[in-house]
Order: sequence, then structure tokens, then C-alpha cells
Amino acid sequence: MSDDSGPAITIDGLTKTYGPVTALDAIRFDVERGQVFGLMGHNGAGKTTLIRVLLGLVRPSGGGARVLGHDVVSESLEVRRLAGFLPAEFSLPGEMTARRFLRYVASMFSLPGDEAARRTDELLALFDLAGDADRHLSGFSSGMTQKVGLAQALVNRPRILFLDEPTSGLDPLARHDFLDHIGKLAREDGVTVLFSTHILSDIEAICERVAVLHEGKLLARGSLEQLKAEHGAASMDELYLALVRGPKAAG
Amino acid sequence: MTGAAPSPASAPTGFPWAFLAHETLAVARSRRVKLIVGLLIYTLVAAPFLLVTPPPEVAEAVEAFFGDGSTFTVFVFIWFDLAMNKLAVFSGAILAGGIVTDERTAGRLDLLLAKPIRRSHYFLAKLGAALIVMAGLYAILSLAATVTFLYRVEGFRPGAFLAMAAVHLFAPLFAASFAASLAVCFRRKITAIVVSILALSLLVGFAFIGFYIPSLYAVGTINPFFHAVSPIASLDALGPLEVAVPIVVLIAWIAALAAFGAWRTGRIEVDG
Repeated sequence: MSDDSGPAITIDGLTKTYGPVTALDAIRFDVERGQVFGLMGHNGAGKTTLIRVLLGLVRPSGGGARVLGHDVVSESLEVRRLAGFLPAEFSLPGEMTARRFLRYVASMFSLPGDEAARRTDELLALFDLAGDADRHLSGFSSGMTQKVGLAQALVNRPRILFLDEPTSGLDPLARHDFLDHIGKLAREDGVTVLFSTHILSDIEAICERVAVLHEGKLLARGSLEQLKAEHGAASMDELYLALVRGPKAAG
Repeated sequence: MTGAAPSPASAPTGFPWAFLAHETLAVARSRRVKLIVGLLIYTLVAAPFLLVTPPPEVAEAVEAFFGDGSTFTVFVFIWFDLAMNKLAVFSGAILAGGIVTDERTAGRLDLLLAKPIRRSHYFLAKLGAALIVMAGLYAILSLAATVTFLYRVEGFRPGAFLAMAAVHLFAPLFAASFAASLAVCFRRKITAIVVSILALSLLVGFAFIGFYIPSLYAVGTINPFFHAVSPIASLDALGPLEVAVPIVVLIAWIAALAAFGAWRTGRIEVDG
């Protein structure tokens, strides 16, 4: 399949088990290209496992998935070449400067030296980090660390971006700026974004469509308006409670 | 905002040389290397004082093992077995004992493995960087030692010393490969490093067993550290064969460990 047609992500009966624990239970949905797609669910719902399977970091136990037309198992290198990824919890190497770290990441994409240097400068400027580019990462605040985290995910000009709980731990201003960056990536560059979070206001602020995971199962998928209408929910909180605990809890 | 998407060419499948280069720079600038440099400088400065009057039992043992109790032979034994072998164990474990486990502990493994590099190549690039830095440090130390000892050790023979150093250079490289390969088998860095140091120390302790107990000579040749110090037995007649054979054996050990580590890393699942 060409990577220029069809959905950005196709998930077909994806299952992942760890011994007796089913982390993903026959998940099935598509994500259209150029969308910011929300992956909702509380901790342990299976969001991180799903992203790891899509990036080829974890092998599925059953079913399959394609990202930009590439099988996530047999073509995982190609998927990772086209993707950017910001994990939920990460630390940066404190001994490196921001500039050196971004060059280091660029080397993992085999970017030529001059292109890597140019791209690093672009990203440092984009995230207002140029003035701190040569400071050690150990001295960075959580907001700055998150900016470097997003910058490293964009080094390869990804066509698809996997963001796992990206706004956790950010102050309101940093969170606003971060969501603004993500929105621009989708609108201006056509990047598909899979945005995993349990922060419902983030979903409402940025996502066009969502999938709701709960204990490894897909509870619902669709546009926010459609899901709210279907479940008679006036807000995201009500929608989420209705999906996870049933309509009575939401009411 | 971010510019055009990349061209849909195939994912890179060859060895990530650019990553190896950046990793080498990162290792060279790390605190671990500063610690090792400190150990090397200390050894270089302290060794001549220890060598002024070597313990008589050491001199006697050297004469019994090698049939040569000259000051130079005793010096070479003390330098390579008592000093450099121990340094090899600790510097190898410090430098390479955290490959993959460091990233896992720091919560950086999934971020890095999500890049388009085969996991086996990731391990080999990390190990390669550690070996390059280690080789550089030991080469510099050996040259500095040659200059230092030329004027401080009676009967010092720079050619024989450098030939011996060329062979022994592969001892810390073996130690680093061993520590790296063990590191990917353990989830905790401290466990991997402690096991590495214990196992390598045991090998160092038995490096000369073939000389101590001639009936165990054949068994002793299984030990890589035996090969790293074996040219001491022929210091007066060191030829290309005496230098090349142990180097080839040690390279084979390093290659086998690297292959094991790469295979093991290829099987890792990022699950936490």
C-alpha cells in the first residue's frame, strides 16, 4: 500500500497481552490524515501500550496495524522514519546541551551534518530555546524540557506525531503554548497527531475526533460532537463518565 | 510550520555511522570518562613509587613463572597485571555497564528506540562508541607511560613495553564488551555493574593460573585476560606472532560478546 493514500493509522483487531493481563483487547479504528486525534482514557487504559505497538516498540499479541500504509511489525523502521514521538514520562541527558541533544537525535535519522545543524537551529528558534541552546539540559525547567521533547520529535519533519500525555506537568501558560504548536502542526503542515491524554480539556481544545480506551477495550470513537450527542452529554466530563461508568454516573 | 515532510525513500537499513560519531562525542564528554581519566592519571603518577621497591615475593614469583626476574620484567608484570588489569575491569564496567539500562532507568529508552535505528545497531553503536573512547584513553595512557617510565625504570625497553601495551589494549575493550553485554541482560544498572565487576575480577585473578599451575595451562587459555598478559612470558623474544595471536583471540571474544549483546538488545520490548 502506498503511504500517500488511505488513513494515517489503521488498527485492526490489535491485541496485546502480558501474561494474564490484556493491555489491548481487539482494538479497531482508523485515524484520518492531517487530524489531531485524541486517545482518551485514564491511567492503565492501554494508551501507552497502543502507541508503543504502533511505533514497533512492542510486538502485538494479535491483530495488526498500519501507520501511513506501513505494517507496524514488518516495516517498523519505515514507520519510525516517518514518525515523531514524545513519551509520557522521559528525561533528557543532563550532560548534553539542548543543541547537542537535537543534533544527537538528528544523527539517529542519518540527517547530513549541515541539514541537521539547520534543522536544530529552526527548532530551537521555533520553541524560543535559541537563547538556552548551549545550556546543559540538567538546568532546564519542566516546561523547557517538554519543549525540547517536542523539538526532538520534530527533528525529522514527521508526517505523524505520537504524543503520550504531553501536557502533564506543564503550567497553564506552557500548556497553552504547547497545544498551540500542536494545532499549527496539523493545520499548517498536515501532520497527523495522535494525542493521548486523560486531561479532558486538552481533548476539547485540540482534537477533532477521539477514541476512548478503558481497561484495554475501545469504548467509543467518533467526533466529539457526535459522541456527546449520542450519550446525551453536555460536557467532556459528562461524556467520559457516561462512557466509562454508564449514563447514570454522568447524570 | 515545520516544512515539508520527508521524501518517501526507504528507511535507512545500514549501520548508523552518524549516530556512532555523535555517541562517541557524547561518551567522550561524559562524567564517566572524567572519572576514568582520573583513575588513569592516578595510576600513572602512583605506579613509579610502587615500582621503586617491588615486594620481593613478587620478584621471586615473576622469576619462577617466566624464568626472568629482571627489573623490567617485574615492572611489566606489576604494571599490566596488578595495575592495568584492575583498571580494565573498573573502567570497562564504568564506561559500558550502563548501555540500555541507563536509558531504561532514566526513562529515555522508548524515546531513543522510537528512532529509525535497528535495536541491534543501537547497541553496536553504543558499544562501538565506548570502545573507541576506551581505546583512545588507553593508547594515550600507554604513550604517556612509555615516556614516563623511560627515565624511571631500570632497563626499560620501550619497544617491548609498547608491544605488550598493544596486546593489553584489548583487555579493557574486552571488559567493556563484557559489561555492555551483561548490561542488556539486567533491568537494573547496579546489578549489571556489580555482576560485571565480580565476573571480570575473577577472570583477572585467574589470568596467570597457567603459569602458577602449569598443569592448568590449557584451561587457562580460555580466559581472555590470560591472552592480554601472555606476551610477558616472551618479553625477550617478542615477535609478530606473540603479539598478533593474543590480539586475534581477544578480538574474537569482543566480537562474540558484541554479537550476543546486539542479539539480546534486538529482543528487548519497551514495557516500562
